[in-house]
Amino acid sequence: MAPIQLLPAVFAAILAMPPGDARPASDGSRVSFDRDVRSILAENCFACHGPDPAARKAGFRLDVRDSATRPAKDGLVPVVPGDPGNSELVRRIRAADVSDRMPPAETKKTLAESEKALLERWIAEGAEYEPHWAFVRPVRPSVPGVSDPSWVRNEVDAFILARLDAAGLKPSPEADRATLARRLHLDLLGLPPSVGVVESFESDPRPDAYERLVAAVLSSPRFGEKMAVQWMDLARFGDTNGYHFDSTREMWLWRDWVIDAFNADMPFDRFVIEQIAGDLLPDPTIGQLIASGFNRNTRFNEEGGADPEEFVVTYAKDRVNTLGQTFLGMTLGCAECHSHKYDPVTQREYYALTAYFNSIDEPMVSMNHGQKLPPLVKVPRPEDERALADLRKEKAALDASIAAALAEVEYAEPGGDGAERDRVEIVLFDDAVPAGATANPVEGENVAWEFAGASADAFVPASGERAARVGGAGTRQVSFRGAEKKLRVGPGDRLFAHVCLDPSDPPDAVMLQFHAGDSRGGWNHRAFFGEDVIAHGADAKGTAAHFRAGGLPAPGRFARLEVDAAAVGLFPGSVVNGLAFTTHGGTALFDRAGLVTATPQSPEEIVLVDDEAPDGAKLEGDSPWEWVEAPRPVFSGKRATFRKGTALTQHFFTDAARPATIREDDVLFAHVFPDANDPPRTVMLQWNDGAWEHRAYWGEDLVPWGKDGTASRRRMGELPEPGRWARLEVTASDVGLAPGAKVSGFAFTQVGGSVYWDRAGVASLSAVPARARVSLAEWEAWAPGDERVPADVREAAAVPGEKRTAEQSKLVRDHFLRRVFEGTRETFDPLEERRDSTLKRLAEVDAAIPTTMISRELPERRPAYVLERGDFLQRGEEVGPALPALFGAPLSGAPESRLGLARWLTGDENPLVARVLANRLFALAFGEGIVRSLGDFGTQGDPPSHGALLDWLATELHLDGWSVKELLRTLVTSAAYRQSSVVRPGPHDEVDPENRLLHRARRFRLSAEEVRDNALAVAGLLSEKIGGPSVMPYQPDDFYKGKKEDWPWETATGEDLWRRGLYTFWRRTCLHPSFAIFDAPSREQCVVWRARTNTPLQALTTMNDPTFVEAARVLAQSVLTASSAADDVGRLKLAFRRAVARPPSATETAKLREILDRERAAFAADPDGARALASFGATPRPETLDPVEHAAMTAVANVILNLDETVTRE
Amino acid sequence: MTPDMPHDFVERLLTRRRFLTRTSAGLGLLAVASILDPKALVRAAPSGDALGSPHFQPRAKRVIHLFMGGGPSHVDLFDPKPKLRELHGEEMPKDVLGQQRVTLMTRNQGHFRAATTPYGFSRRGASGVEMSDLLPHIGGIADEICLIRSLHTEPINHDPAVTFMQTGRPQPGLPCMGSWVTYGLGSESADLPRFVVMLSGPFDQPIPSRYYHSGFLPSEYQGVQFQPGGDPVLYLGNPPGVTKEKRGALVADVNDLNRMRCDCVGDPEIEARITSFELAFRMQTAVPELMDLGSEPASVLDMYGPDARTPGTFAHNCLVARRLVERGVRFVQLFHRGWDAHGNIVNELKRQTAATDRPSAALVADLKMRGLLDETLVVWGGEFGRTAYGQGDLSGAFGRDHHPRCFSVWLAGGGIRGGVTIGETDEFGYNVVSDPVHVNDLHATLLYCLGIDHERLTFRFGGRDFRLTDVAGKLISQAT
Repeated sequence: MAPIQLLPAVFAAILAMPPGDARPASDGSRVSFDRDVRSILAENCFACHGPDPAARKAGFRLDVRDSATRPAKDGLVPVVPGDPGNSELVRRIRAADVSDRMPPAETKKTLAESEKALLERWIAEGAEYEPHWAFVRPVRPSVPGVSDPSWVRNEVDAFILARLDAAGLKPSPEADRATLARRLHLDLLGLPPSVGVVESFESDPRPDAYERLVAAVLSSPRFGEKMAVQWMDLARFGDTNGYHFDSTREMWLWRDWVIDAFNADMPFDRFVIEQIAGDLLPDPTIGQLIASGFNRNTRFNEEGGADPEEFVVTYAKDRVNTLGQTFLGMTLGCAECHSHKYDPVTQREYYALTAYFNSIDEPMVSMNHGQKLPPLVKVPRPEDERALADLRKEKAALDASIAAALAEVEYAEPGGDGAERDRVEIVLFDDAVPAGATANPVEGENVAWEFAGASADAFVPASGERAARVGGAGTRQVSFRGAEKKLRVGPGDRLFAHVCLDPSDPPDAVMLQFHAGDSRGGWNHRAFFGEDVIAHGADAKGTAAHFRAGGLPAPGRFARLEVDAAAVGLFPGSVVNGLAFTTHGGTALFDRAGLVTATPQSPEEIVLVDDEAPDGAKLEGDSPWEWVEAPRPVFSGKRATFRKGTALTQHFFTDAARPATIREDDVLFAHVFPDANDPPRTVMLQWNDGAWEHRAYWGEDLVPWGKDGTASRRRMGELPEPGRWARLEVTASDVGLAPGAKVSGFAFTQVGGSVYWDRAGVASLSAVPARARVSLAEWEAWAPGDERVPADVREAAAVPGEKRTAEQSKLVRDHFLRRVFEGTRETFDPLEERRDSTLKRLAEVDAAIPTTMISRELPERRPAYVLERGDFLQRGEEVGPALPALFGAPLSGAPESRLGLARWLTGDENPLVARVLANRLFALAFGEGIVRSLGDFGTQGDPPSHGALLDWLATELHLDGWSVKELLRTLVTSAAYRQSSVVRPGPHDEVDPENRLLHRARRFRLSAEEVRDNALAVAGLLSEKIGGPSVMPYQPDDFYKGKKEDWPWETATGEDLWRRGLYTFWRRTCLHPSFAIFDAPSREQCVVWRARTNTPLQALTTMNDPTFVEAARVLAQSVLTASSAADDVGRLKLAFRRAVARPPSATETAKLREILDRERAAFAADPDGARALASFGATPRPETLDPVEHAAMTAVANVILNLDETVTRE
Repeated sequence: MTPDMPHDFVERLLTRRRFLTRTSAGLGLLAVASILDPKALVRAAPSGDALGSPHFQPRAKRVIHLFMGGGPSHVDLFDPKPKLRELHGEEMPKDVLGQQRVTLMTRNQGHFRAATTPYGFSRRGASGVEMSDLLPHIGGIADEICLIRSLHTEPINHDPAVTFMQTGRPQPGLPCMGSWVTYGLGSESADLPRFVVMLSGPFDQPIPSRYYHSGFLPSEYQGVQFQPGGDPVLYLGNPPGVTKEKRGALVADVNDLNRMRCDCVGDPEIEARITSFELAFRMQTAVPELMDLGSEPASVLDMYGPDARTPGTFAHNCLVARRLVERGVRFVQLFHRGWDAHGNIVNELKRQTAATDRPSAALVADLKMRGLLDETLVVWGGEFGRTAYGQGDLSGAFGRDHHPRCFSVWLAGGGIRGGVTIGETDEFGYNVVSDPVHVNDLHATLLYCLGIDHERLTFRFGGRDFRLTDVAGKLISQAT
């Protein structure tokens, strides 16, 4: 019977058969389990009678013959080979009683009569089982005979025509050359051909003109870009980490590696091995390390509350799921919570696969948003190499100069009779809790501060009029901290207090505790006297936190307790602002406490501005800095700065070469002189530690920056009295400058008035005093407590002089001479400054060297476990790396590492990888896979439309050294590929409505990136630059508004606006909208296939997205200035051809002319509108072009770029 | 679940259109109709289309979900616990805490001290349901709402918990409820997107577009976010020099040329493209008209409160939500962030309720006034609740940690019984003691109100039939 005469009902029956390439069973041949039966059982039965033991009902499974043909729990045999009448399966599917019938009603599945009949025939014919086709290694099939051998250009055509023959269909005629050229370019390069390429192909008379075009296309560097896009979907490449914070990551070197690999036609087996396990290859190259970043493309969670254990597991699962989808075409992820219901992969086997990936070394949870995630490989560009070499040479020269200068210095310690004579007693506590302090700030064993006086209590205070009483059962104490007055601790200083033990109730122990600010250990400075019974610091006995300083004095009279400041961890540079008096098991009076010191107690001033701005500073302001000298007001030195304004005005600097490092309790200061005749309304100081978020002001709240009442805008008081100098002071912590902050910028801001500014900087009790800058011996005592001194020098300085090695002594001395000693500043400052800036530039160049994340194994493998319901907290059995049993017994030299896994994937025995790749390449060329579910070759996947062809292609890959280009060449040179996509009248669409048999070429919408790239290429805007960091083209301004506004999006300039879409910055939680609208995936996980939807949002995008509007405008100017087009028609034809390759038909040309004429008239009446449209966007426009002509042609170009055909591969 | 090939749905359906004998019947066909012809959306609306009728008599036609991102505190707002006041500052009993997993934020705190709400509770409405004095306006509609106090979820961190509330599972990649509903029912508006999302509130939690994504459903079912600044819908505005009339002419030109091509190649996809352009052009008029609140009387604006005039606020979004459902939009979801009160429950709750209480109540009242409440289901709630114990020092500005074991949501309109309270938690507000309601149950009920059997709205993907309620979900019968 000729197919053309088939009745519709019969077509339906044929198409209900799996479209395997053998003829369907209805023609009288035997029923095939694999082809005909398995899909019916899988769909309807396997959920309860399949591979998952947990879900299995009645104790039998239908996916395994042994089980199906044995008695089930109820004693009945589901399948009796050769005897459908006695097979329980048949009885149950035929049961009239709904409660007895299978599949059960609640599954809402029903078997068609044809399916029931097939199952019966299969049992009658012996119920033979066959393994699922995809799990059996492909064998090269013979090429079938066909009705019309003259149509066959290569083997692909034979397989395709054989199926068309069987269905009684004829292939479509070959497409015209313009269509072919465009199709080929879009499929293999993702870009349209130029009009020149199309024309020369159209006029090429050589018989192999098409093959030549294919060769040219395959050798274009654009090929790698096109192929990379698909691979980036699979490999879930993104420029951000995904999850909660979605910080930026640097991964583009991996992307560029992929582009290069495709362009070089790297054999696919190597491509796989290097990506899964490049790091495990012997002596891996940089390229192999970069490739191994494939595994690191996993998202990364930076959320603080997240559990690190959870993410070890999450990342490993993601890698297994990617392995399944990308290489094996299996939905392994189903086995995460339970054994796979349809495919033979158990939950245990799933977790055995995670064991290949869970020992990749990587950070687990980070709150350092935006930080790099090691391990990384650094890949310097040639310009980096050059810059580094130059800077290193510069540094070596400076080191030599410094060494030479050091050799010249003769340093002699200044004479003098030592500091001891100068020691004085500084009192912190006497008679009262000192001013500004908080009493009893910490919860604990406090008693109220109580002062006993001489008259009432019959004792003589050690000092003043009264003493503090502390006592009671157990540990009792009084304390204060945050006193205005602070003790500045210097070398050799001692701390003291007076104590009088109550003779009637003497304690076992007393303790003195000193508070030195949180960054200096807080309360962890303790000395006790007497028994070791007070718990404070007792977990660090013998350290400064719990130091025994001596025994208890006799009760009944005041005794002086003393302790070396250093013994309780208070080294020079420490600042004490609190005390605690503690007793245990008795009562004591405490009096007069403080410090014996030779160090001046006034702070050191680190001056940033006085007569000069600091070295390296970049001076800026609303107007230039204006320096004035006496007789105008000057506070110190020779000159001050002056500023006059009517509104908000300021001068400031940034980038001081030597920033002031902030220490706890530091005070920022500046001097100000408001003019009495023209006072300002507000003065403000601002500090920069990388950001301008630290402000203090005096006077009215008129400056809008920051938030009032916070560190970003703190009011300090009234405007200082005009007509005199005032010192403005701000405690650094009040404006959010924490210890360690580096202040490298300072702003002097005012609202209105005339103001003089002078001497500004940081006053620090922690800083090294002036006299240490002229004496090495003195400085050595300060150096260990000064965090700006390099650690090795501090360490050496902490070693007592006589114990230092010669090397250590030299280190200390050299640093002193190079950086501190006033006598050698003239010599070393210029050298050190140059050396510092060289080091800074070295660090900058080094930090700018591109990096990319790579794979590396932990030294010790992490254990992997079966996780109940996929929950990381519910660990089951421990599992090691192993392949699912469905792939047969492990190979010899079992692949226990990622490298072994990768070698197995690409080995000869693997049944899936070559098929999955061949199928994906087939889909690239034909618009759909032979297996339509590209990521599911399992029993629930779509059956292959041309199974033998798929196996032929897979074996072709094996035979041809895994060449991706050669396989594509084979596909695109076939006659099947060259068919027209025009829908033909006749039976074709009735018999083959989904065109699974390929009776014509498919016509489909371009991908998101291609829609963009195509418009840019048509306009002539597209940049040809390959690779490099991702770029940020136009994106709607408010796109991150309400989402996360601190995400960076700095719109690119120049060429970077016009790079191919694959280079657009890929923010995984918030993809560029024009891509998301065209179905690009977020790439948070592996994606094997993109939808091709058609929505109004897409129409809005191509109509109004600035990228497309500018493309239309530039396309218009390009055809208006083209020498090849002399008149309207010529220009319209040129624009049209650039968009769709073919020339417009007569009716289309007429329509285009009509649009142009109408728009020309409309814009002539609206010259402003014309100018606005004609100059839209960043690209320059030739000013010689008449705006009306330009705008009218832009409107036509906008129409052309919006045509269905323009965004469609035909 | 792992991602698989999203079946190239539209493309297949377009070719299937002429060959329906192969297509199984089902709700998906409503979706088909909506792709082929937006006017068919109206024809294919819930009742009576031959291609697929609803499973039950629908009560609601539309949904407005007021999503309170971050996890509002049930013990401070909806679930009064005198016991917490009594035991304030004392360790929670071990048997109440149970073997729970807590976040790293309180795991290392070392104590779990009961913390009372600083706010009073009062009986509201005829039903006398107790609600926080922070919610005077929602209290005022107490008899319209069904308060569920026994909702519980599984994940303890925001991202998976929001994902769970949106999609019925904690892993990313599944369609959200708005996508399921519009996939099943299409839309009644020919000029506006079917599923609209708006964001408001402080920027403490990111709202990735994944939360309103269609997963493996075709991407036209994903939520369209209305932007708070610039064009409300991306790329809605024409470039300079292109007036509305000119755009109309150019769209007609595009479609004329597309028809010429369609005549040559015979691909029905081109017809779909023509329809898309027509709808896009209509949206260019309909969306600005929608967003222009100039026609709203001052009394209505005042009802929503002073913020109603400011784009980007919750109050403004509520008013726009009403205008959207009025125009037949099927699913509107407002995300309002800022409920993640780890540090200062007292002040943060004041801020949050000041922004949301009045507009939420006004929305319900406004819908009722217009006769729309009966057919519009309003859902109010977050992804989880907050712990009965305090986070931080109770003598200072303490907060509460995430709490998935119980939390409160309320429903109103769309066939929901008002003045009803469902479920009960223990005297600490820590565990459910009666009538537990799982997130999947909430979803099942939502679909039920729309006339959909949650077990029968499915989509085949990766070899499996997926649904919003995964493998669970049962109707909350007291609610309907």
